[in-house]
Amino acid sequence: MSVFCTSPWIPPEWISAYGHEPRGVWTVSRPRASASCSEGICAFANGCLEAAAARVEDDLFVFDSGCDQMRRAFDALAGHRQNAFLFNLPATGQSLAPRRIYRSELERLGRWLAERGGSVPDTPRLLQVIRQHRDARLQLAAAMEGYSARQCVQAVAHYYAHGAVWVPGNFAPAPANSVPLALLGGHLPAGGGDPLDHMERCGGRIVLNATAAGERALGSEDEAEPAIGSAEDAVEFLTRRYLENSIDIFHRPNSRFYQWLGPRLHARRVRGIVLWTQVNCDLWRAEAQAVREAFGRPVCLIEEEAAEGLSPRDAGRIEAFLELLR
Amino acid sequence: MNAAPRKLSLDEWDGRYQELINAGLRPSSHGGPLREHVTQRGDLRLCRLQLDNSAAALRLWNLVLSENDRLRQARANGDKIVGTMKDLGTVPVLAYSLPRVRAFYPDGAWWTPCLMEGSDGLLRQADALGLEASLCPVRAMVPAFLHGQHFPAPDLLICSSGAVCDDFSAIAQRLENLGFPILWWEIPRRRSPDPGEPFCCLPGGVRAPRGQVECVREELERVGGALSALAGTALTTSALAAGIQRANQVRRLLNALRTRVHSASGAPLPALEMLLAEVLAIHYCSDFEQTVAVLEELLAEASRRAAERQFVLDPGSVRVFWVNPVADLRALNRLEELGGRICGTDYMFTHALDLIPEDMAPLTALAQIALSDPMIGPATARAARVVRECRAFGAEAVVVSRIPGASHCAREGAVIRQMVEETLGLPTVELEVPPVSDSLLPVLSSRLQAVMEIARARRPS
Repeated sequence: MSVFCTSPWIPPEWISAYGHEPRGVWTVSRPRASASCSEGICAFANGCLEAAAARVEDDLFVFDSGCDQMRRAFDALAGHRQNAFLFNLPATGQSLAPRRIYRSELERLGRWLAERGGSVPDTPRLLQVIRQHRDARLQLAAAMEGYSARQCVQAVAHYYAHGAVWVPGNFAPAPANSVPLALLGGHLPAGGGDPLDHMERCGGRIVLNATAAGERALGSEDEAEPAIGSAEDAVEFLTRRYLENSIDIFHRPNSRFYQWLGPRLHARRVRGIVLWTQVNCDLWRAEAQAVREAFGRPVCLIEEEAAEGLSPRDAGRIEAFLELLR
Repeated sequence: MNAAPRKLSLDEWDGRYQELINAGLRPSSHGGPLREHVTQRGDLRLCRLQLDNSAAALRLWNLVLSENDRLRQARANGDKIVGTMKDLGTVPVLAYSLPRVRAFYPDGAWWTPCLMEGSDGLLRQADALGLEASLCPVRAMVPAFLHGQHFPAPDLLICSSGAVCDDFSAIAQRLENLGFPILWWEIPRRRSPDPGEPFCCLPGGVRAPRGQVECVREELERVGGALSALAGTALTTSALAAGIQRANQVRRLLNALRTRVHSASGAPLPALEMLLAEVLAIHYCSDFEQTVAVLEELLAEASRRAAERQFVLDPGSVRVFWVNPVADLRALNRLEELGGRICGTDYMFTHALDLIPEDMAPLTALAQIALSDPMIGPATARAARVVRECRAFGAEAVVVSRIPGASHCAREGAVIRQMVEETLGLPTVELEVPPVSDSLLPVLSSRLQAVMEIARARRPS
């Protein structure tokens, strides 16, 4: 079965090992700024909820608790649909309790997947899948800097689904005089879509995609070689890997995100930052000023609300931003 | 000193204060006439509020409005000040179990723009810090920290994270970015136990897996360790048990007061004073002894009025259950002016009203109470409690009051309203109350009037 996850910090290898097909929900869902968004509902969480409600009953959905809006979207769905699971993602990592929470959630997810047609993996299978994903992540992370924006998004989506490296070719390189940009935020609309094209058309070049659909989803490269002799070892390995290597702003404190971002902005000579948020996403929106202060680079805040592509207002803002940077 | 129950304007309270003094009232160490809060602290909103005329209410208002002065005095006396955020009622139990430690909620600054009618400038300053109006008014606390003009900078800042509101979490993170280190502790989203999974029945009528209780217990142990280091004294099991007993003393008093007021045939005390009384439960307003004294006095006043059938509102008022605290205190006055009466509340901290178990290890008991927080579980669990209490107190209508920019308000109102309507058939309304709601009062009034009109029409003729 396809298992659509709302967060890259729910291990796709765990889902694969149980014989299901992991998918990022961001590859099928678009933000849905329905009338309810005027009442404060996050467009992305709403999009996930609507995507889950609309999919065939065989599809499974794993929501995450990284934000209140997603948590509550799960609550809204759970009353109507059995094939949804809420994965409790700890926000802190300074103590043993978050590790125990994560570990217990993995085990619970495993049981849930097994009850829904999955097969409990034996240790060799776990080791094989975990290694495969780890190797793919490392390979991708090392190569990311050379990818175009579109290649990056598609390569990450492919990795998430298959645990393998595949980079679509035939993309014309951006002109050398284009402005190097970093793209920050939670999720991009399905497929990466026109925001990337628009930024490039306006003279920008995305040298760092730090959204959940981009390089950030790979986590930090500081990954240990899995030493797995039992299923318990696998759970422990994944717990450590996903708690220590995940890069996100819902963490408290979220300094790891800044530590990850800073050197990349510097090394890739980023001149401007586009912060891509969905309407009513408090967590990302509130970071705009902190990002500006931390890195001393101009930030263009885009609040996506349109279900179909960039709104004219947002397209104009990106254009103006790049005009000033050129 | 007793007079027929009435609500007074601040001007009327000047005369009433003199009457009380003439009748033998001794000025409290927390304040004299209420007008002083306007002239000395700029709490301009008092000029537009209607306040209960009892000596007990005077003492309550003085206790609540003098907290910042009290914290500064405590600091000057060498006490340690702990700022605890978001958990609403849990960490203060730990803090007040240690000698010479005072805990307070910087979150409380969310009422400052209301009390000072925006003259504090905190929300404008928050805008400039990147915390815009899309976030809840708690953002006022960040400039309050930076300027230090409202409350003293805490010696230790603690905040729960995990299953908390996005806006609050973002605001607290911004605070840390601006140079105020925070001890974060994890409160997981409470879930129902899976089949066969060991679980605990928590206070408040909800259940949680035992594993979650254990994780929260560990986290609270970590918080307790930090508090012990700050106090220079180990937090022993017996000290925490005594701290829990004290917390329960406040909770028992408050429950007695709520039951007395909400179940009486008329309203012995107004909604505004009852809101302030409930707030005392979360951290005793930095003065445990005074909190107990004030609650005892309020309970005595409410009991006397109920026994004498002297009510502050028309006994025919519509019995309303109110969900979420109001950013503008005037909204509760308005409800009463329109013929409503509060008969049940969920101000987001019902777990601070429930008794903490005393028949188990103290930290486990505290973990259980933390996990019974209505804001960390599904909205259906919160709604179920609202339904139970509506039944218990005979509510005739439910008002869900949205907090501007609060992430939990986006969906929970619909869940609560649906369950109330389907289970009890009561009319419900959802409305948003900004920190100073004067310009919206006509709209708010229309909505409140409408729901109460329907409630009245449902009464048996």
